[in-house]
Amino acid sequence: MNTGILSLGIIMFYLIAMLVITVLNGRKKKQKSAEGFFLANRGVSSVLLPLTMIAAMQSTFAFLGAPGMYYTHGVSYIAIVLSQVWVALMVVYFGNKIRKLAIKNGYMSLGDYFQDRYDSKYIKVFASCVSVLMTMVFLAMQYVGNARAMSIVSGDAISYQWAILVSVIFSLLYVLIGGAGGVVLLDAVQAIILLLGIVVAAWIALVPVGGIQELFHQVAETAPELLSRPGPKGTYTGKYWFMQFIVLPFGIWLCPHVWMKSLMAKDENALAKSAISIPVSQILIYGFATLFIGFAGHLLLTPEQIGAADNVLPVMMTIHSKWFIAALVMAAAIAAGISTINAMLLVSSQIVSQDLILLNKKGMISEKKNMLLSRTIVLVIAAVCGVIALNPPETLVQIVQDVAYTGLAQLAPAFLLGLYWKKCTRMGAACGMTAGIVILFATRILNVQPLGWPGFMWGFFTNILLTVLISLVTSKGNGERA
Amino acid sequence: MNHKLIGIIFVILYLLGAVPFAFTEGAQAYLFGWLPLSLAYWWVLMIVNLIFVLWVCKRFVESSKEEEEE
Repeated sequence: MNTGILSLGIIMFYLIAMLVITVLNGRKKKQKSAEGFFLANRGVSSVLLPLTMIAAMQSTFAFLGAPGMYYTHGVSYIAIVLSQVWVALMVVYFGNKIRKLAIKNGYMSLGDYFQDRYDSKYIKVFASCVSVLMTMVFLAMQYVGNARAMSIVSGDAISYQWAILVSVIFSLLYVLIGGAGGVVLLDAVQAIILLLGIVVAAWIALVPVGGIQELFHQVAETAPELLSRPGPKGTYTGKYWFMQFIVLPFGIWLCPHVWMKSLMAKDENALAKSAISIPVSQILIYGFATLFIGFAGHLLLTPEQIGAADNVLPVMMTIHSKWFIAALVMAAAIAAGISTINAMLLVSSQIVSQDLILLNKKGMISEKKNMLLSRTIVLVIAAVCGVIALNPPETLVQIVQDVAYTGLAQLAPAFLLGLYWKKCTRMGAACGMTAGIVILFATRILNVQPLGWPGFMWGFFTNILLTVLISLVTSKGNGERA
Repeated sequence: MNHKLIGIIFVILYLLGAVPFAFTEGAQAYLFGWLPLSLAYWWVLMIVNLIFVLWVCKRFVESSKEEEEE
Protein backbone atom coordinates (compact mmCIF):
# COMPACT_ATOMS: atom_id res chain seq x y z
CA MET A 1 0.00 0.00 0.00
CA ASN A 2 1.12 3.58 -0.68
CA THR A 3 3.15 4.75 2.35
CA GLY A 4 1.86 8.31 1.86
CA ILE A 5 -1.71 7.13 2.50
CA LEU A 6 -0.53 5.05 5.47
CA SER A 7 1.27 8.10 6.90
CA LEU A 8 -1.90 10.13 6.49
CA GLY A 9 -3.77 7.31 8.25
CA ILE A 10 -1.41 7.57 11.26
CA ILE A 11 -1.97 11.33 11.46
CA MET A 12 -5.76 10.95 11.17
CA PHE A 13 -5.68 8.22 13.82
CA TYR A 14 -3.80 10.59 16.10
CA LEU A 15 -6.29 13.43 15.52
CA ILE A 16 -9.22 11.10 16.21
CA ALA A 17 -7.58 9.72 19.38
CA MET A 18 -7.21 13.29 20.66
CA LEU A 19 -10.87 13.89 19.85
CA VAL A 20 -11.88 10.85 21.90
CA ILE A 21 -9.91 12.22 24.88
CA THR A 22 -11.67 15.57 24.45
CA VAL A 23 -15.13 13.99 24.26
CA LEU A 24 -14.55 11.79 27.33
CA ASN A 25 -13.12 14.68 29.30
CA GLY A 26 -15.88 17.01 28.06
CA ARG A 27 -18.53 14.69 29.55
CA LYS A 28 -16.92 15.02 32.98
CA LYS A 29 -16.52 18.78 32.82
CA LYS A 30 -19.56 20.48 31.34
CA GLN A 31 -18.81 24.13 30.69
CA LYS A 32 -21.82 26.08 31.88
CA SER A 33 -20.36 29.55 32.19
CA ALA A 34 -18.08 31.78 30.13
CA GLU A 35 -15.47 31.65 32.93
CA GLY A 36 -15.51 27.86 32.84
CA PHE A 37 -15.40 27.76 29.04
CA PHE A 38 -12.54 30.24 28.66
CA LEU A 39 -10.54 29.99 31.90
CA ALA A 40 -11.20 26.44 33.15
CA ASN A 41 -12.69 28.06 36.28
CA ARG A 42 -9.28 29.49 37.22
CA GLY A 43 -8.30 26.15 38.69
CA VAL A 44 -5.57 24.58 36.54
CA SER A 45 -3.10 22.64 38.69
CA SER A 46 0.68 22.74 38.93
CA VAL A 47 0.86 19.50 36.89
CA LEU A 48 -1.34 20.58 33.98
CA LEU A 49 -0.51 24.30 33.78
CA PRO A 50 3.18 23.85 32.81
CA LEU A 51 2.21 21.34 30.15
CA THR A 52 -0.54 23.54 28.75
CA MET A 53 1.91 26.48 28.77
CA ILE A 54 4.38 24.41 26.71
CA ALA A 55 1.59 23.35 24.37
CA ALA A 56 0.40 26.94 23.91
CA MET A 57 3.88 28.39 23.36
CA GLN A 58 5.38 25.64 21.24
CA SER A 59 3.57 25.53 17.96
CA THR A 60 4.32 24.17 14.50
CA PHE A 61 7.19 26.71 14.48
CA ALA A 62 9.10 24.27 16.66
CA PHE A 63 8.99 21.70 13.87
CA LEU A 64 8.80 23.80 10.72
CA GLY A 65 9.69 27.45 11.36
CA ALA A 66 12.64 27.01 13.74
CA PRO A 67 14.61 24.46 11.67
CA GLY A 68 13.89 26.74 8.70
CA MET A 69 15.27 29.76 10.58
CA TYR A 70 18.47 27.91 11.59
CA TYR A 71 18.76 26.66 8.01
CA THR A 72 18.43 30.22 6.65
CA HIS A 73 20.07 32.43 9.28
CA GLY A 74 22.38 30.04 11.11
CA VAL A 75 23.20 30.02 14.78
CA SER A 76 22.02 33.63 15.32
CA TYR A 77 18.45 32.37 15.62
CA ILE A 78 19.41 31.21 19.13
CA ALA A 79 18.44 34.76 20.17
CA ILE A 80 14.96 33.29 20.54
CA VAL A 81 16.05 31.18 23.54
CA LEU A 82 18.13 33.90 25.17
CA SER A 83 15.35 36.47 24.91
CA GLN A 84 12.27 34.33 25.55
CA VAL A 85 13.64 33.05 28.84
CA TRP A 86 12.53 36.36 30.36
CA VAL A 87 8.90 35.52 29.63
CA ALA A 88 9.31 33.18 32.62
CA LEU A 89 10.05 36.10 34.95
CA MET A 90 7.14 38.03 33.48
CA VAL A 91 4.85 35.11 34.32
CA VAL A 92 6.10 35.10 37.91
CA TYR A 93 6.05 38.84 38.52
CA PHE A 94 3.43 40.42 36.24
CA GLY A 95 1.41 37.23 35.84
CA ASN A 96 0.94 36.78 39.56
CA LYS A 97 0.02 40.40 40.08
CA ILE A 98 -2.59 40.34 37.31
CA ARG A 99 -3.87 36.94 38.53
CA LYS A 100 -4.59 38.36 41.96
CA LEU A 101 -6.25 41.44 40.47
CA ALA A 102 -8.27 39.23 38.14
CA ILE A 103 -9.58 37.11 41.00
CA LYS A 104 -10.46 40.25 42.97
CA ASN A 105 -12.06 42.19 40.12
CA GLY A 106 -13.29 39.38 37.87
CA TYR A 107 -11.06 40.12 34.86
CA MET A 108 -11.27 37.60 32.09
CA SER A 109 -9.02 39.35 29.61
CA LEU A 110 -6.44 42.06 29.09
CA GLY A 111 -9.26 44.31 27.88
CA ASP A 112 -11.08 43.92 31.21
CA TYR A 113 -7.94 45.05 33.02
CA PHE A 114 -7.49 48.08 30.74
CA GLN A 115 -11.10 49.14 31.15
CA ASP A 116 -10.93 48.80 34.91
CA ARG A 117 -7.54 50.49 35.32
CA TYR A 118 -8.11 53.38 32.93
CA ASP A 119 -11.93 53.51 32.85
CA SER A 120 -11.59 53.75 29.08
CA LYS A 121 -13.57 51.86 26.50
CA TYR A 122 -11.28 53.23 23.78
CA ILE A 123 -8.22 51.56 25.34
CA LYS A 124 -10.15 48.34 25.89
CA VAL A 125 -11.45 48.20 22.31
CA PHE A 126 -8.12 49.27 20.79
CA ALA A 127 -6.13 46.71 22.80
CA SER A 128 -8.71 44.01 22.08
CA CYS A 129 -8.59 44.71 18.33
CA VAL A 130 -4.77 44.61 18.32
CA SER A 131 -4.79 41.38 20.36
CA VAL A 132 -7.34 39.59 18.24
CA LEU A 133 -5.92 40.67 14.87
CA MET A 134 -2.38 39.71 15.83
CA THR A 135 -3.58 36.39 17.26
CA MET A 136 -5.48 35.66 14.05
CA VAL A 137 -2.30 36.18 12.00
CA PHE A 138 -0.59 33.71 14.30
CA LEU A 139 -3.52 31.30 14.16
CA ALA A 140 -3.70 31.33 10.36
CA MET A 141 0.03 30.51 10.25
CA GLN A 142 -0.59 27.52 12.52
CA TYR A 143 -3.11 26.17 10.03
CA VAL A 144 -0.50 26.71 7.31
CA GLY A 145 2.10 24.77 9.32
CA ASN A 146 -0.25 21.90 10.04
CA ALA A 147 -1.39 21.63 6.44
CA ARG A 148 2.19 21.72 5.09
CA ALA A 149 3.28 19.01 7.52
CA MET A 150 0.30 16.86 6.61
CA SER A 151 0.59 17.16 2.84
CA ILE A 152 4.40 16.74 2.67
CA VAL A 153 4.61 13.69 4.92
CA SER A 154 1.67 12.03 3.16
CA GLY A 155 3.42 12.50 -0.18
CA ASP A 156 0.55 14.74 -1.31
CA ALA A 157 -2.00 12.02 -0.56
CA ILE A 158 -3.95 14.94 0.85
CA SER A 159 -3.78 18.30 -0.90
CA TYR A 160 -2.77 21.43 0.97
CA GLN A 161 -6.32 22.81 0.76
CA TRP A 162 -7.91 19.64 2.15
CA ALA A 163 -5.29 19.54 4.90
CA ILE A 164 -6.35 23.06 5.91
CA LEU A 165 -9.94 21.90 6.08
CA VAL A 166 -9.02 18.87 8.21
CA SER A 167 -7.04 21.11 10.61
CA VAL A 168 -9.91 23.60 10.89
CA ILE A 169 -12.52 20.88 11.53
CA PHE A 170 -10.51 19.05 14.19
CA SER A 171 -9.50 22.22 16.03
CA LEU A 172 -13.15 23.31 16.06
CA LEU A 173 -14.27 19.97 17.44
CA TYR A 174 -11.65 20.07 20.22
CA VAL A 175 -12.53 23.60 21.29
CA LEU A 176 -16.30 23.45 20.91
CA ILE A 177 -16.58 20.16 22.75
CA GLY A 178 -13.90 20.67 25.38
CA GLY A 179 -13.70 24.42 26.08
CA ALA A 180 -10.67 25.49 28.14
CA GLY A 181 -11.11 22.63 30.64
CA GLY A 182 -11.06 19.97 27.94
CA VAL A 183 -8.30 21.67 26.01
CA VAL A 184 -6.05 21.76 29.10
CA LEU A 185 -5.97 17.96 29.34
CA LEU A 186 -5.56 17.62 25.59
CA ASP A 187 -2.74 20.17 25.65
CA ALA A 188 -0.96 18.26 28.40
CA VAL A 189 -0.92 15.09 26.30
CA GLN A 190 0.16 17.02 23.20
CA ALA A 191 2.96 18.81 25.07
CA ILE A 192 4.54 15.49 26.00
CA ILE A 193 4.14 14.20 22.44
CA LEU A 194 5.66 17.30 20.88
CA LEU A 195 8.70 17.23 23.19
CA LEU A 196 9.31 13.56 22.44
CA GLY A 197 8.73 14.21 18.75
CA ILE A 198 11.33 16.97 18.48
CA VAL A 199 13.96 14.85 20.28
CA VAL A 200 13.32 11.96 17.88
CA ALA A 201 13.50 14.39 14.92
CA ALA A 202 16.87 15.75 16.10
CA TRP A 203 18.16 12.21 16.51
CA ILE A 204 17.08 11.32 12.97
CA ALA A 205 18.85 14.44 11.68
CA LEU A 206 22.11 13.71 13.54
CA VAL A 207 22.53 10.01 12.73
CA PRO A 208 23.26 10.33 8.97
CA VAL A 209 25.59 13.28 9.61
CA GLY A 210 27.66 11.29 12.12
CA GLY A 211 26.86 13.10 15.39
CA ILE A 212 27.10 16.59 16.81
CA GLN A 213 30.86 17.10 16.41
CA GLU A 214 30.79 15.93 12.81
CA LEU A 215 27.80 18.20 12.15
CA PHE A 216 29.76 21.28 13.25
CA HIS A 217 32.93 20.13 11.45
CA GLN A 218 31.06 19.82 8.18
CA VAL A 219 29.13 23.08 8.59
CA ALA A 220 32.41 24.90 9.38
CA GLU A 221 33.85 23.56 6.13
CA THR A 222 30.85 24.08 3.86
CA ALA A 223 28.99 27.09 5.28
CA PRO A 224 30.98 28.80 8.09
CA GLU A 225 28.79 31.91 7.84
CA LEU A 226 26.06 29.87 9.56
CA LEU A 227 28.13 29.71 12.74
CA SER A 228 28.15 33.38 13.73
CA ARG A 229 26.22 36.65 13.46
CA PRO A 230 24.88 38.22 11.28
CA GLY A 231 24.26 34.96 9.38
CA PRO A 232 24.30 34.21 5.64
CA LYS A 233 21.66 36.84 4.81
CA GLY A 234 23.13 39.48 7.12
CA THR A 235 19.87 39.71 9.10
CA TYR A 236 21.19 39.50 12.67
CA THR A 237 23.03 42.80 12.79
CA GLY A 238 23.73 44.34 16.20
CA LYS A 239 20.54 46.43 16.07
CA TYR A 240 18.35 43.54 14.95
CA TRP A 241 19.86 41.26 17.60
CA PHE A 242 19.19 43.80 20.35
CA MET A 243 15.61 44.32 19.13
CA GLN A 244 14.88 40.62 19.63
CA PHE A 245 15.37 41.10 23.36
CA ILE A 246 12.53 43.63 23.48
CA VAL A 247 10.12 42.27 20.90
CA LEU A 248 10.19 38.63 21.87
CA PRO A 249 9.73 38.79 25.67
CA PHE A 250 6.98 41.43 25.53
CA GLY A 251 5.42 40.23 22.29
CA ILE A 252 5.22 36.63 23.44
CA TRP A 253 4.07 37.29 26.97
CA LEU A 254 1.33 39.59 25.69
CA CYS A 255 0.10 36.96 23.26
CA PRO A 256 -3.40 36.52 24.70
CA HIS A 257 -3.13 32.72 24.64
CA VAL A 258 0.06 32.88 26.76
CA TRP A 259 -1.03 35.76 29.00
CA MET A 260 -4.31 34.01 29.76
CA LYS A 261 -2.50 31.06 31.35
CA SER A 262 -1.76 33.28 34.36
CA LEU A 263 -5.50 33.76 34.90
CA MET A 264 -6.07 30.01 34.68
CA ALA A 265 -3.54 29.18 37.43
CA LYS A 266 -4.91 27.57 40.56
CA ASP A 267 -2.19 29.03 42.80
CA GLU A 268 1.36 30.44 42.93
CA ASN A 269 2.89 26.99 42.72
CA ALA A 270 1.11 26.29 39.42
CA LEU A 271 2.19 29.69 38.11
CA ALA A 272 5.85 29.11 39.07
CA LYS A 273 5.92 25.67 37.45
CA SER A 274 4.41 27.10 34.27
CA ALA A 275 7.16 29.75 34.28
CA ILE A 276 9.86 27.07 34.59
CA SER A 277 8.35 25.12 31.70
CA ILE A 278 9.18 28.02 29.36
CA PRO A 279 13.02 27.94 29.47
CA VAL A 280 13.08 24.15 29.82
CA SER A 281 11.08 23.60 26.64
CA GLN A 282 12.82 26.48 24.82
CA ILE A 283 16.28 25.08 25.53
CA LEU A 284 15.33 21.58 24.45
CA ILE A 285 13.57 22.71 21.28
CA TYR A 286 15.35 25.89 20.14
CA GLY A 287 18.64 25.62 22.02
CA PHE A 288 19.51 22.18 20.67
CA ALA A 289 17.03 20.10 18.64
CA THR A 290 16.02 22.54 15.90
CA LEU A 291 19.56 23.90 15.64
CA PHE A 292 20.80 20.40 14.81
CA ILE A 293 17.92 19.80 12.38
CA GLY A 294 18.43 23.10 10.54
CA PHE A 295 22.17 22.56 10.17
CA ALA A 296 21.73 18.92 9.14
CA GLY A 297 19.35 20.18 6.47
CA HIS A 298 22.28 22.01 4.87
CA LEU A 299 24.37 18.87 4.75
CA LEU A 300 21.76 16.28 3.85
CA LEU A 301 19.34 18.07 1.54
CA THR A 302 19.63 20.15 -1.59
CA PRO A 303 17.80 23.49 -1.93
CA GLU A 304 15.74 21.93 -4.74
CA GLN A 305 14.54 19.15 -2.41
CA ILE A 306 13.60 21.62 0.31
CA GLY A 307 11.87 24.38 -1.64
CA ALA A 308 10.75 26.70 1.20
CA ALA A 309 13.00 26.75 4.32
CA ASP A 310 10.08 25.64 6.51
CA ASN A 311 10.09 22.28 4.76
CA VAL A 312 13.50 21.19 6.10
CA LEU A 313 12.15 18.87 8.79
CA PRO A 314 9.30 17.19 6.90
CA VAL A 315 11.48 16.65 3.81
CA MET A 316 14.32 15.30 5.96
CA MET A 317 11.93 12.94 7.74
CA THR A 318 10.53 11.57 4.52
CA ILE A 319 14.01 11.01 3.00
CA HIS A 320 16.10 9.95 6.01
CA SER A 321 13.71 7.94 8.18
CA LYS A 322 11.21 5.15 7.77
CA TRP A 323 7.78 6.29 6.60
CA PHE A 324 6.00 5.45 9.87
CA ILE A 325 8.61 7.32 11.98
CA ALA A 326 8.22 10.33 9.68
CA ALA A 327 4.45 10.11 10.14
CA LEU A 328 4.79 9.89 13.95
CA VAL A 329 7.15 12.89 14.08
CA MET A 330 4.78 14.87 11.88
CA ALA A 331 1.89 13.82 14.13
CA ALA A 332 3.90 15.43 16.95
CA ALA A 333 4.31 18.56 14.80
CA ILE A 334 0.58 18.61 14.23
CA ALA A 335 0.09 18.12 18.00
CA ALA A 336 2.14 21.25 18.54
CA GLY A 337 0.07 23.14 16.00
CA ILE A 338 -3.31 21.92 17.18
CA SER A 339 -2.60 22.67 20.83
CA THR A 340 -1.59 26.24 20.00
CA ILE A 341 -4.59 26.62 17.70
CA ASN A 342 -6.90 25.46 20.52
CA ALA A 343 -5.54 28.08 22.90
CA MET A 344 -5.69 30.80 20.24
CA LEU A 345 -9.21 29.97 19.11
CA LEU A 346 -10.46 30.13 22.67
CA VAL A 347 -8.79 33.39 23.46
CA SER A 348 -9.71 35.12 20.17
CA SER A 349 -13.31 34.10 20.59
CA GLN A 350 -13.23 35.35 24.17
CA ILE A 351 -11.90 38.76 23.14
CA VAL A 352 -14.38 39.15 20.27
CA SER A 353 -17.43 37.95 22.18
CA GLN A 354 -16.78 39.26 25.70
CA ASP A 355 -14.71 42.39 25.07
CA LEU A 356 -16.04 43.64 21.74
CA ILE A 357 -19.55 42.33 21.02
CA LEU A 358 -20.70 42.37 24.66
CA LEU A 359 -18.77 45.56 25.47
CA ASN A 360 -21.87 47.34 26.82
CA LYS A 361 -24.01 44.28 27.48
CA LYS A 362 -21.90 42.16 29.81
CA GLY A 363 -24.08 40.59 32.50
CA MET A 364 -27.19 41.55 30.55
CA ILE A 365 -27.52 38.28 28.63
CA SER A 366 -27.95 34.78 30.05
CA GLU A 367 -24.98 32.40 30.38
CA LYS A 368 -26.70 30.14 27.84
CA LYS A 369 -26.84 32.90 25.22
CA ASN A 370 -23.30 33.95 26.10
CA MET A 371 -22.05 30.40 25.51
CA LEU A 372 -23.89 30.20 22.20
CA LEU A 373 -22.36 33.49 21.11
CA SER A 374 -18.88 32.38 22.20
CA ARG A 375 -19.13 29.11 20.30
CA THR A 376 -20.41 30.88 17.18
CA ILE A 377 -17.43 33.25 17.30
CA VAL A 378 -15.03 30.28 17.62
CA LEU A 379 -16.57 28.92 14.43
CA VAL A 380 -16.29 32.24 12.55
CA ILE A 381 -12.66 32.86 13.61
CA ALA A 382 -11.58 29.35 12.63
CA ALA A 383 -13.24 29.78 9.23
CA VAL A 384 -11.65 33.19 8.61
CA CYS A 385 -8.18 31.97 9.62
CA GLY A 386 -8.63 28.86 7.47
CA VAL A 387 -9.39 31.08 4.45
CA ILE A 388 -6.34 33.29 5.19
CA ALA A 389 -4.20 30.14 5.38
CA LEU A 390 -5.16 29.13 1.83
CA ASN A 391 -2.65 31.64 0.41
CA PRO A 392 0.36 31.16 2.70
CA PRO A 393 3.63 33.11 2.84
CA GLU A 394 6.88 31.20 2.24
CA THR A 395 8.21 31.29 5.78
CA LEU A 396 6.02 31.27 8.86
CA VAL A 397 8.34 32.67 11.50
CA GLN A 398 9.15 35.91 9.77
CA ILE A 399 5.48 36.81 9.35
CA VAL A 400 4.61 36.15 12.98
CA GLN A 401 7.72 37.84 14.31
CA ASP A 402 7.33 40.89 12.06
CA VAL A 403 3.60 41.36 12.47
CA ALA A 404 2.13 39.60 15.49
CA TYR A 405 4.84 39.90 18.16
CA THR A 406 5.77 43.48 17.30
CA GLY A 407 2.10 44.53 17.40
CA LEU A 408 1.38 42.81 20.71
CA ALA A 409 4.52 44.26 22.32
CA GLN A 410 3.00 47.73 21.82
CA LEU A 411 0.48 46.91 24.56
CA ALA A 412 3.26 46.47 27.11
CA PRO A 413 3.85 50.12 28.17
CA ALA A 414 0.17 50.80 29.01
CA PHE A 415 -0.09 47.44 30.73
CA LEU A 416 3.05 47.62 32.86
CA LEU A 417 2.96 51.32 33.66
CA GLY A 418 -0.70 50.91 34.58
CA LEU A 419 0.23 48.08 36.90
CA TYR A 420 3.21 49.70 38.64
CA TRP A 421 2.96 53.48 38.16
CA LYS A 422 0.08 55.19 39.91
CA LYS A 423 0.43 58.40 37.89
CA CYS A 424 -0.12 56.71 34.55
CA THR A 425 -3.27 58.23 33.05
CA ARG A 426 -5.86 57.19 30.52
CA MET A 427 -4.77 59.92 28.12
CA GLY A 428 -1.11 58.91 28.36
CA ALA A 429 -1.86 55.21 27.82
CA ALA A 430 -4.25 55.85 24.93
CA CYS A 431 -1.89 58.22 23.09
CA GLY A 432 1.20 56.05 23.65
CA MET A 433 -0.48 52.85 22.50
CA THR A 434 -2.05 54.45 19.44
CA ALA A 435 1.18 56.17 18.39
CA GLY A 436 3.16 52.95 18.85
CA ILE A 437 0.86 50.95 16.58
CA VAL A 438 0.63 53.71 13.95
CA ILE A 439 4.43 54.08 13.77
CA LEU A 440 4.93 50.32 13.68
CA PHE A 441 2.61 49.77 10.74
CA ALA A 442 3.53 52.99 8.91
CA THR A 443 7.22 52.07 8.89
CA ARG A 444 6.30 48.53 7.88
CA ILE A 445 4.05 49.64 5.01
CA LEU A 446 6.54 52.28 3.81
CA ASN A 447 9.37 49.77 4.36
CA VAL A 448 11.65 52.32 6.07
CA GLN A 449 14.10 51.97 8.97
CA PRO A 450 14.96 55.51 10.20
CA LEU A 451 18.66 55.72 11.25
CA GLY A 452 18.93 52.01 10.63
CA TRP A 453 16.65 51.05 13.53
CA PRO A 454 13.59 48.87 12.75
CA GLY A 455 10.18 50.60 12.89
CA PHE A 456 9.24 48.52 15.93
CA MET A 457 11.90 50.23 18.04
CA TRP A 458 10.68 53.70 17.02
CA GLY A 459 7.10 52.73 17.78
CA PHE A 460 7.93 51.09 21.10
CA PHE A 461 10.06 53.88 22.54
CA THR A 462 7.70 56.60 21.25
CA ASN A 463 4.93 54.65 22.94
CA ILE A 464 6.78 54.66 26.31
CA LEU A 465 7.79 58.30 25.99
CA LEU A 466 4.29 59.52 25.14
CA THR A 467 2.67 57.42 27.86
CA VAL A 468 5.02 58.88 30.49
CA LEU A 469 5.07 62.49 29.28
CA ILE A 470 1.32 62.81 28.74
CA SER A 471 0.64 61.10 32.06
CA LEU A 472 2.84 63.68 33.79
CA VAL A 473 0.92 66.62 32.31
CA THR A 474 -2.62 65.23 32.54
CA SER A 475 -4.64 64.29 35.58
CA LYS A 476 -6.60 61.13 36.23
CA GLY A 477 -10.31 60.89 35.43
CA ASN A 478 -12.86 60.00 38.09
CA GLY A 479 -13.13 56.31 37.28
CA GLU A 480 -9.41 55.60 36.92
CA ARG A 481 -7.82 53.33 39.49
CA ALA A 482 -4.71 54.26 41.45
CA MET B 1 11.89 37.63 48.02
CA ASN B 2 15.11 39.55 47.63
CA HIS B 3 13.93 41.69 44.71
CA LYS B 4 17.06 43.85 44.66
CA LEU B 5 19.41 40.90 44.21
CA ILE B 6 17.11 39.33 41.65
CA GLY B 7 16.92 42.64 39.78
CA ILE B 8 20.70 43.04 39.66
CA ILE B 9 21.29 39.48 38.43
CA PHE B 10 18.50 39.89 35.88
CA VAL B 11 20.02 43.07 34.43
CA ILE B 12 23.46 41.45 34.15
CA LEU B 13 22.13 38.30 32.47
CA TYR B 14 19.83 40.30 30.22
CA LEU B 15 22.70 42.49 29.01
CA LEU B 16 25.00 39.50 28.54
CA GLY B 17 22.43 38.17 26.08
CA ALA B 18 21.14 41.39 24.50
CA VAL B 19 24.46 43.10 23.81
CA PRO B 20 25.71 41.93 20.40
CA PHE B 21 29.35 41.34 21.41
CA ALA B 22 31.94 41.62 18.65
CA PHE B 23 33.28 38.11 19.23
CA THR B 24 29.91 36.64 18.16
CA GLU B 25 30.29 38.21 14.73
CA GLY B 26 32.32 37.01 11.75
CA ALA B 27 34.95 34.25 11.67
CA GLN B 28 34.94 32.09 14.78
CA ALA B 29 37.50 30.41 17.00
CA TYR B 30 36.59 26.78 17.73
CA LEU B 31 36.61 25.23 21.20
CA PHE B 32 37.74 21.58 21.24
CA GLY B 33 38.26 21.98 17.50
CA TRP B 34 34.58 21.91 16.60
CA LEU B 35 32.40 24.18 18.82
CA PRO B 36 32.18 27.80 17.61
CA LEU B 37 33.01 30.23 20.41
CA SER B 38 29.81 32.26 19.89
CA LEU B 39 27.63 29.17 20.23
CA ALA B 40 29.57 27.95 23.28
CA TYR B 41 28.98 31.34 24.92
CA TRP B 42 25.26 31.34 24.11
CA TRP B 43 24.81 27.73 25.30
CA VAL B 44 26.48 28.53 28.63
CA LEU B 45 24.39 31.68 29.01
CA MET B 46 21.24 29.71 28.22
CA ILE B 47 21.94 27.25 31.03
CA VAL B 48 22.88 30.01 33.50
CA ASN B 49 19.60 31.77 32.65
CA LEU B 50 17.70 28.56 33.32
CA ILE B 51 19.36 28.12 36.72
CA PHE B 52 18.48 31.72 37.58
CA VAL B 53 14.82 31.22 36.60
CA LEU B 54 14.67 28.04 38.68
CA TRP B 55 16.05 29.89 41.69
CA VAL B 56 13.65 32.84 41.28
CA CYS B 57 10.67 30.50 40.96
CA LYS B 58 11.74 28.57 44.06
CA ARG B 59 12.03 31.81 46.04
CA PHE B 60 8.68 32.98 44.67
CA VAL B 61 6.84 29.85 45.86
CA GLU B 62 8.56 29.96 49.26
CA SER B 63 7.75 33.61 49.70
CA SER B 64 4.07 33.15 48.80
CA LYS B 65 3.85 30.26 51.29
CA GLU B 66 5.35 32.48 53.97
CA GLU B 67 2.85 35.22 53.13
CA GLU B 68 -0.01 32.74 53.39
CA GLU B 69 1.17 31.51 56.79
CA GLU B 70 1.47 35.07 58.09
